Amino acid sequence: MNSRRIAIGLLVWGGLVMGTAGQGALAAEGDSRPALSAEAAEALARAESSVAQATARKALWTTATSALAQAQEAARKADNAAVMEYAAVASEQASRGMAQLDSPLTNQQH
Amino acid sequence: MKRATWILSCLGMLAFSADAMSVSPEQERLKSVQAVQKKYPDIKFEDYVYGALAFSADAKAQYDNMMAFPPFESEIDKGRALWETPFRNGRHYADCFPGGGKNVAGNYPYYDETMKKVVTFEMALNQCRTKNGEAAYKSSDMNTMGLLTAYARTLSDGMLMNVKVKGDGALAAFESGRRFFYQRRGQLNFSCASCHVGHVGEILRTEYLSMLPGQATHWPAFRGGDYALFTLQRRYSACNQLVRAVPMEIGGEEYNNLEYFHSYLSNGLPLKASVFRK
Amino acid sequence: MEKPIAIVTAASLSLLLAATFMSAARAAAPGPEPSGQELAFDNRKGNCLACHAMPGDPKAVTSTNVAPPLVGMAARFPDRSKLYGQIWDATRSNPDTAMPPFGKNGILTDTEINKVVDYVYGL
Repeated sequence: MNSRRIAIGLLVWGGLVMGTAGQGALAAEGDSRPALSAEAAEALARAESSVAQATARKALWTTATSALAQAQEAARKADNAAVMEYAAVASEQASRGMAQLDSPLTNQQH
Repeated sequence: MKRATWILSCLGMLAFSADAMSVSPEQERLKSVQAVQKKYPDIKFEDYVYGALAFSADAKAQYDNMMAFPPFESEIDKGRALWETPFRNGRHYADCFPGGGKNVAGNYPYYDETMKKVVTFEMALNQCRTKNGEAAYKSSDMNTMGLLTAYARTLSDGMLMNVKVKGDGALAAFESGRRFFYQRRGQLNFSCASCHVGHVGEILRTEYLSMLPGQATHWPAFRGGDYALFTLQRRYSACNQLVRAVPMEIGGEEYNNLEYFHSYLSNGLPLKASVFRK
Repeated sequence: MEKPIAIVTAASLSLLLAATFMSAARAAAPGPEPSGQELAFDNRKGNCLACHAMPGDPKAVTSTNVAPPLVGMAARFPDRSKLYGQIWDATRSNPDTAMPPFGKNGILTDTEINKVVDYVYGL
């Protein structure tokens, strides 16, 4: 009896977790403000600003653009871990692009 | 006091010329030609217009075969129709250019002292449109501007590239294009020069790398198995994308300056528009 | 007897559901990890074949002559870290090099570079 209750409990719990997560994702789609952790939101904002800076300096890499798009997509699904992961790549690739502007010119014939 | 300012500004000019203009555009062009001549003494200067084809007799023979009856001829005809159709005011593109548009493309790009910027042939075509009450085409639109140049530029076939760089503004634009050519870009960290100066005539997996002089003479080109139409600046955009750099705007200042530098480095070589390229 | 089974079933059902949801959320599930050779051939990854011939590997099909062929690598790079460093950022040994800085610019991960080094060492 007791174990059956546990079993039912587990099923309900599993369903609940799913339902909540599902709702979160749904809410994220309908709502303009997804349920992101403060940490993930901050990482995303930092990535967006780095990419904007690199764009302004005409030094943006396509890898930064696509990582930012992935981070934004993850944010819509409120997937904090993925937001952190992709936002970090976007920021890093954007700053590498800007640093490249200071690298010496190559193969000059004089 | 006045004198001190004068001396200071002279020093400033010197510093500028020593840094950016240690080599004149003509010296730059000659060095670039000499470097190719040294590495490939058997390739004639006028054959530089064939780019990668100049390194392979087989590929050149296939090219000659195809160009006898270009499979993209109907596309050039569409461009001719665009060129010949009068504007709503009854005037034509031919009225905007000396000689009805024959043997003009080699004078472009030029530096316009009043506009303080580089004017490409595509911009001149658009100036002709707007002057006659028509909307400008988008330089990136191959179905309008691309096709139009696929015919309009053939009217200058055989003309020698004759780009001029005179005056401070022109020099600055040339220098900006030059920097673009030698500057590393994108995650893959290539400059245009990494391949087209550093490894001219060598084979990248399966393709020969073309030489810088002559590269600006044969546009637009019909490329690959589907003969996709590429203006020179669309090619820049595709190249930037390949090295994983976000491309600049086609028809924007960066590419216009690059085209200015690039075209000057092709001076003295004959134009031939609407050719096949891989 | 039947009770523990019920628990296990319920638990695994939950896990299964959770797993399904997780995989739906992370649409781009990583495929099998590529080998050093695959990384070296793939033009979206190492693309070594674009510039280096590899006469020791019959599967390495290329006509390139841009950069030195990859042969006798163990003898040429007795110090493994030198080879790793060359792939990580070749501009440090030659500022004009056309070789992309695979590690510095994040084209390959450390794990991927190590796999490429292993593969190249066998050539």
